[in-house]
Amino acid sequence: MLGLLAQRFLFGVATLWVVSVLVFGATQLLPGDVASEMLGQEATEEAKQTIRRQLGLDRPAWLRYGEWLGDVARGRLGLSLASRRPIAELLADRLGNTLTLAVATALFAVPLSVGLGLVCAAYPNGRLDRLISHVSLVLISVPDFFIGAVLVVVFAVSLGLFPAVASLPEGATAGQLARALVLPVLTLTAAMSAHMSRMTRAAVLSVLRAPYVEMALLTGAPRRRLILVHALPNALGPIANVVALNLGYLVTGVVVVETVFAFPGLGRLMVDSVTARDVTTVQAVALIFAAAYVGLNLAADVAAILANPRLRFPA
Amino acid sequence: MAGDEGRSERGLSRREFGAGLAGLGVAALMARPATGQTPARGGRLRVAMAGSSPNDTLDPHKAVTALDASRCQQLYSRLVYLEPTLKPGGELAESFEPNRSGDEWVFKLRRGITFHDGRPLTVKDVIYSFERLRAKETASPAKVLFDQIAADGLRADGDHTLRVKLTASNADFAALLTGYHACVVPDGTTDFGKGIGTGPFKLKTFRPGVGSVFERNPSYWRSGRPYVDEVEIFGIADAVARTNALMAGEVHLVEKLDPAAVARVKATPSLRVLAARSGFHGTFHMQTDQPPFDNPDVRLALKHLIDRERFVEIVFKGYAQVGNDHPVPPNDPYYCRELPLRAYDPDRAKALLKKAGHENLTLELHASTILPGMMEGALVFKEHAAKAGVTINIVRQPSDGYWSNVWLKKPFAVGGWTMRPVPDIILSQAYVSTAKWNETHWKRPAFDKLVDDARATTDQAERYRLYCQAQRMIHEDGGVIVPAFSDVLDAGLARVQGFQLHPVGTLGHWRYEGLWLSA
Amino acid sequence: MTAGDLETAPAGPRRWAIGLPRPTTAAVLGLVLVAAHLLLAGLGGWLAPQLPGAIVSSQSFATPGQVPPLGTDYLGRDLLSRLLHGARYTLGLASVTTAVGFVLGLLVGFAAAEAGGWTDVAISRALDVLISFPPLLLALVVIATLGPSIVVLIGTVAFIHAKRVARIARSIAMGIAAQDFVEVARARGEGSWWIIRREIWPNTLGPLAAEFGLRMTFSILFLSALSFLGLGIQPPLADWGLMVRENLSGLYYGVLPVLLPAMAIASLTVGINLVVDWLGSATDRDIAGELFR
Repeated sequence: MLGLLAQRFLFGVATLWVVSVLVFGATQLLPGDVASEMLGQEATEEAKQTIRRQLGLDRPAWLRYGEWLGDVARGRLGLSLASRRPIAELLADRLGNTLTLAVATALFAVPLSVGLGLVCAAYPNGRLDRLISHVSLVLISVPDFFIGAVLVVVFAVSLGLFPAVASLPEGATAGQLARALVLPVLTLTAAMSAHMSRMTRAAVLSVLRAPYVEMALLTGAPRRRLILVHALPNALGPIANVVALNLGYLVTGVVVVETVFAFPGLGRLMVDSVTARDVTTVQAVALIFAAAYVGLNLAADVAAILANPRLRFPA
Repeated sequence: MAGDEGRSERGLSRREFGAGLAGLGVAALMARPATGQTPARGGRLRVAMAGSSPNDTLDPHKAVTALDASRCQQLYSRLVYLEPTLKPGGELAESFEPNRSGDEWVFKLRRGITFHDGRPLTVKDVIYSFERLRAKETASPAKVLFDQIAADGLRADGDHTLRVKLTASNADFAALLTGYHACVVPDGTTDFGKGIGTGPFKLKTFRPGVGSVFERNPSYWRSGRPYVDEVEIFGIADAVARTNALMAGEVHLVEKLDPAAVARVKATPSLRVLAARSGFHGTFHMQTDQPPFDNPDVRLALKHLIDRERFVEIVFKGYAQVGNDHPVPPNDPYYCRELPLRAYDPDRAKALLKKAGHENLTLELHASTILPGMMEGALVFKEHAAKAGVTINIVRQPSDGYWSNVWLKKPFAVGGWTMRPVPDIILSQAYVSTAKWNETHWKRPAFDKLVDDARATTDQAERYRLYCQAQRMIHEDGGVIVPAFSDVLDAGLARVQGFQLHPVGTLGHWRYEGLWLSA
Repeated sequence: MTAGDLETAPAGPRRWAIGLPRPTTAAVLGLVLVAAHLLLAGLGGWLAPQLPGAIVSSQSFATPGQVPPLGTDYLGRDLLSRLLHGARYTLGLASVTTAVGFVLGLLVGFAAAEAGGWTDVAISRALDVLISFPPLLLALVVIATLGPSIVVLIGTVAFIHAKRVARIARSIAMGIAAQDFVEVARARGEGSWWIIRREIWPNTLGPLAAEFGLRMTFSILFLSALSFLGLGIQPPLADWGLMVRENLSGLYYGVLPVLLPAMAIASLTVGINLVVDWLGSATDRDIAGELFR
């Protein structure tokens, strides 16, 4: 198994490298560059050339990429082309925010979804099961920015219970932080919980059909014990898988929610950096995104392997 | 206090300039409290601007966005300040005046002003700042303006007097120094990380792309000011989120209120719409050296194809002034009042097009959402032009890269200009034959002469006459359609006192030193 | 309590037609919704009283009473007309995108499964890398480079689909390719293409149809998210996602201009999901969960 993991890990690193090449290549294709975006309407050719020279953009692409790769290998992410400040600082800030939101959402959504899935699996096709199924179906069918907007209008503007904007002001207390995160977390949960609960339900149900479960049933085991003790551990593989994927989404795909709530996360940083043609920042953020995907996928695979004894000891 | 109070007046009196007497009245100019109360001290003012970017900088000479400008306004000061009436008033300079021919100016600095780190302000700091503004290495957007100073034209006369020699006479030189770039920084500064300046606030924290916090400068030379303890400026890019933040009372001021939300803000007693007449305008510009726009009849025909009153209503919900196809707004003292307003006349347009041999013209108009109202304006133009059989197909361009790839490159596109303090600037930047940003490729030596003459003379009446002629030329023959001058439209909580509307920039030209928060 | 309580689909598949189980009420509802939307997309253009760009009133967010029949949007345009025209865009664009991505993915996935050996490994690894590439970043960069035209949108989103579909198609095909009847066909000397067409394809229909439905919902929601960010369908076209975005600021005055397009999107997606559930219940795997991979 260790060999398998090592193989996956190496492959993950290779993936990151390929992603960085692709991203760099793509940014070179973008029209305009950081100099023209920086100066905007008032740009003169002379000013643009000066800035390009100062940023070293007049050197060939392969040279710049090579330098960047060398720096990254030594752990240095370099400077943002747009603000000329260290990217590491910038990223630490935004990554911290994104992780805070991701963890808060995960802590709320995962137990909720898995719990709902288990309940549905315990009483399949019952009234509760159908209700939850229908509600979650509607929630995943509506665009997430719509859910966010409705929540803001109702709870923030009309009722004033929570802040309309989660911009994490300076010197916010933990309590303020928590309040600011409530609405974004709810919006994200609405979008994700349906997938996770459905998967839980399906995985548990398919395990419940196994013969050893029938055995347990025949020996008179109560429903709850059946599900929690016999079925759940074996269903953990696919459940962990879908949870990992959703966590990946939380890190990389929540730009829309960040926009609605003006949340300073990685998604907005990515969008803003592409707009500003800040190539070095784009590459750094892309690397983080890819690492998150790869890492979480790896974690999901590991979970699946650990949970399934047959995979742990391949014949 | 609800309702849209406070539109600044139209048709202001003729601007006097030159003698710089404004320096005397400086304290009175700024925050004459609107209600006559004494300002309360304390509190943190939270301002939400429309967008933030990784390009955020504290270097005033490189500022590009409104966000940069608003930050620089807190940290730094200029020699001259632009009043809401568009007169230059003295800020760091207590007086300023030109010589008779207008090509040499003398600025006398106030004494006793110190930077945030305690160093006294002297003429050397001003010279360093101006030289930096025009240095090639700085690549400042304002370089073109400061290139008007002669090569060795900056001379100190003692510690507190500056003599500036220009390459040519310019009656508006003082007005140029009111731009948000022309900030004075300490002699020798290369690292702007600490934001040391002479402004009303000192830098507390700065996170590019997120926000910044400023704290009161206790040794600010306008004693007593500022009133608030701190100012926090950050960006909320999404217009709806910005409005929500205001409605929920989470911020005190927001920039660029969504016109669709105006009615709601007006109806809420705790909020105020802050609308100021301005010269901000969008242009539908045609390159006059490309067919069919090289035909003056075609240009004139297209100019008749917008119903300007309806345009103002639909696109700006009434928060705009009707434009007359030239870049000088009605609230500018040099606006040519004698020039009749262009009417919406599809029949005349049809006749003109027929004469030009271009009936049922089909055109491509390039637009994007990079400026508010640009896309909506293009849509309305399309609808109105259809009545004369002209088909306008809107080519939607992405916002990023618009200025470098579309504007100035396509024969028929939408552009936009912020308000300049004096007409000379916009005319020199976009309409003379050698203009760097000549959207319409329009070259008329007679026009160039008008602009040069107007710049060189200090006779008010003569300047008005010359500018009027210039406006008429653009109105009749030029390649630009200017349907409206949109107002600066911001909003704030009613408890923000001392706010002064300003036609240039947004949020009262970002001057927060005179604001205070009532209970 | 019996073993039967603990199950969802019947123990052995009760086939109804072409390998699918008997439709439940939910499935019927789903089919009705989808059919209604198809009808709307087809006829909407003709039924609409106005062109989508026509500005009928200087009053934004006029209520249905003032301006028939459903009121106006933020620019004074007729809401009903824009909804009807929008059906074509939303449904049409999503369908074309999904179809293109699907076909592409199927071809790649089946080919990989059929070829086996090094080709298979190479393609699988490439797919793994591409799937790690964040879709939003891809969309951002491509659209910023090539402009947000309809063709670019279709290409980008289709590519995003194709990656995942290829993976799934490959795993399904592998599962089937290993079965006896394929071995037999191969032993008979049948060519790869014949095998794909006659043996693999009919057995994968059910799960793939379900997958198609899921991809459709993803297309619709992803495209509306792109419109929200300003990268998708551009004004003045009428697209439901774009309409929700444009009118969001007017949520206080009139709920309709925001609610109706959002509900339109939701009803279409719900319908598709219900049908997907029904198709997926033919097998004992949860297609939704598995295919989310």
